[in-house]
Amino acid sequence: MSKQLQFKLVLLGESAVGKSSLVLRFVKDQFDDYRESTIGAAFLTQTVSLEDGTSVKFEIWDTAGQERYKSLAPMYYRSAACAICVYDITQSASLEKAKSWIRELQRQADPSIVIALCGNKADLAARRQVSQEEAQKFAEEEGLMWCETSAKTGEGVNDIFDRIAHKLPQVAPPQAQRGAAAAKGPGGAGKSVDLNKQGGAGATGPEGCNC
Amino acid sequence: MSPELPPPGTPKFGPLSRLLHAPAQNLLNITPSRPASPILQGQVQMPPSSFVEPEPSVHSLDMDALSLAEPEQDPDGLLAYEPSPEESVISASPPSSHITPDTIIASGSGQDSASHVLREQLRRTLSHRSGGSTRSSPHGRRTHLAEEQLPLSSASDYPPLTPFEAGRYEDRKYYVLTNAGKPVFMSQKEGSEEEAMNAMGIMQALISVFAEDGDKVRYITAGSTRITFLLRPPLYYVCVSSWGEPGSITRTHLEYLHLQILSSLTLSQLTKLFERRGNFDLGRLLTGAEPLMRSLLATAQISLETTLSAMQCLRMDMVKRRRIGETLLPPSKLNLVYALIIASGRVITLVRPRKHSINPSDLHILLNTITSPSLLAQDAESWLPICLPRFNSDGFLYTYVGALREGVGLVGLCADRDGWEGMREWRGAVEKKLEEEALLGTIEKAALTHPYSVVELGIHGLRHFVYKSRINVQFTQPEFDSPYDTDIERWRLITLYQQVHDALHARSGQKEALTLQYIRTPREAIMGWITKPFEVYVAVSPHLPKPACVSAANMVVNWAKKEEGRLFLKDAPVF
Ligand SMILES: Nc1nc2c(ncn2[C@@H]2O[C@H](COP(=O)(O)OP(=O)(O)OP(=O)(O)O)[C@@H](O)[C@H]2O)c(=O)[nH]1
Ligand SMILES: [Mg+2]
Repeated sequence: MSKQLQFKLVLLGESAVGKSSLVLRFVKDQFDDYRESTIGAAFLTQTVSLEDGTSVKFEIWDTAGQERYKSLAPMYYRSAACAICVYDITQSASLEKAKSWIRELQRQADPSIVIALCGNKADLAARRQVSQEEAQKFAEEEGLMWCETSAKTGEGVNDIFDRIAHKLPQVAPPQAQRGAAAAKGPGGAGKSVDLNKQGGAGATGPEGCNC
Repeated sequence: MSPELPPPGTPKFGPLSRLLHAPAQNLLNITPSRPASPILQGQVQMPPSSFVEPEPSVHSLDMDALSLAEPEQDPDGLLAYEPSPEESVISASPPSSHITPDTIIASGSGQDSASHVLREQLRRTLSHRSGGSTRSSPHGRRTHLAEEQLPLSSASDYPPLTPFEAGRYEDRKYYVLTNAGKPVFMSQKEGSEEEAMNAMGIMQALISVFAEDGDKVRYITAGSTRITFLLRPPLYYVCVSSWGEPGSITRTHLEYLHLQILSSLTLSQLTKLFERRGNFDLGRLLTGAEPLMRSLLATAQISLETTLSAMQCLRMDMVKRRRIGETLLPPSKLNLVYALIIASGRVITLVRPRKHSINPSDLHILLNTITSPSLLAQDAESWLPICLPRFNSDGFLYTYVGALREGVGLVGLCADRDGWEGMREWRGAVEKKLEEEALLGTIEKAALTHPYSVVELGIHGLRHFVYKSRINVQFTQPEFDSPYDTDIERWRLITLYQQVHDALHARSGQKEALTLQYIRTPREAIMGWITKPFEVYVAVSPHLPKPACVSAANMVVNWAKKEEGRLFLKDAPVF
């Protein structure tokens, strides 16, 4: 039978950039014009099938972007195999926030974590404050995946999860591929250095920005 | 207490009819309805105008002596008996001085020009609300039932509202600011921000004028508008209302707002933030929490939960409810503090460690936080930190919320921030048992059949009622059917209930608590009756003779006794 893999994925980013909306689009193919700000964190799952028959099940933590929940974030990214750091292309401050999450992940998360930088609300290009070039350049330098999405229109949403699903089996450590085990596994194992990070990132680079 | 009070635990016809014929004047407190302003002025002896209460006040001692004895509750009962945050935190003492806004400010600290400016600004801010010219005059006249026949202004059972009545239920406005004058929250979304900022500036100035004299401002009355202040440094809470409710009501709303804020921050964090920086911008930190405050306030406008300090659970077959409770019992390795199942925003069952009652205000804050639609959407699962201030104001409980079905939530609270995996396993086990016994369907059905109509009771002349089991710290009420099926009528009825409640419990510094209270407006008569095991409020046609009103109340009580098993959550399992 085909392989079944399971990975934890965490969404991070400033409040109102559209993390919950992205997940809702990905998991239920829905969009709400009015969404309440997330309290704490929401947990969702969705499965992606790869061409080779492998199915990748994402266990997704949609975290709250509000400042007062910041101290809880490690609980969610500690055991995550991948993270999507979301910003809103119409708010340049939100990119700064996404960058600071990326730095925190690089320092604190498992060194093999796959990180994607995602500019949401692409449908609002008329109000764009963050250029594609700027974000893409940053992503390349840091060895991250990058893309722009619109949770509203759906543009780019499945794409980024697909790309992550393809990437994970190559880079993720074996224990992260078994859901429950990964959850209990010590997430802080890779607190070490950016060197490790660089290693993982190298693999990410080539196909990271064909969005 | 007067010897005429009914002996505890005998809520039959006996004591009530005895009361009716009792000569003691103070057992019945009736004020004739006055067409000009049928909200029964002076009825709940509110201060006729503004006042400032110097604290501490000797009057606060009276409260305990006069308030009704606590119901004889099992000390390990489900819900902790709580005399509402109002009672427990603040002294509900009577005004010691009656001063109008003019005199307050003029008598301030002698800084004439500054206080003049303040006064002018206050007047301007309030002027657009004080349209109603009816000025309540102090007349807490007590009349014996038999002595006065109330003239009814209309032969109709339900004369239309006067323009004053129709206009007074403008949205109440709530403000939260820091003691440095920084805005934290305001309830109205529309309107200019600048105006609100100004209003908060004035409030802060006003509060500090009194603070300099060691005073705390509690209420200011201007025309038909009352401004209620609640000072919980570093935060100030203010409510502007023209509904004519007792002051204890808006104070309770403000107390709950405070609890809601604490629930997202904890008291220790709040204190720390302001110790570090006196002018900390808490509004920013609380962005995203406004919907919780708004939903709390929205509930407070139309529900008696906060007034009665009790919960309403979902009506359900007793045996099934018990079974559902048993499925929740957690494995001992899971350090659960509370576990509950909710549907339609109401509790079905709540299990807890034997020695841990849950405080009604904590439960209210918890329900307000977790009933937001996205948490209970199909398949949703969440993990949130919630501080339940009465349980522990300095720490969070980590809360699992899983939607078993759309709108049906399994909720588990534990102190372990990393408790998620254990909670999910527990959820799986609970869900399996519920499914095996087809109890999820039972829950969904109960959610549909929960509302009931007053006509089901078949009591002549009865339009609506509220029955609180004091022992269970829970209450029940039918739907708000005609004529109370519009917003204004519902608000008006609830305000009447609150006035009666206030009088029964002597919440506004009345000389003594009452056992029975009957008030009449041109549209209805409301009677409240309190005994040790229960409290009941009935709304009947104003033409219903008083004995019939009394017997309606008795019939409600008997009905509730009979239905108790379905109405209330009793004997929930403990672990
Ligand atoms: N136009 C547009 N609006 C979007 C898009 N994604 C989200 N929004 C809107 O942006 C607002 C915030 O979206 P959320 O998904 O709640 O944001 P969040 O990042 O989850 O916010 P927190 O839970 O507070 O951290 C909502 O009103 C969404 O409708 C998008 O792609 N395009
Ligand atoms: Mg969100």
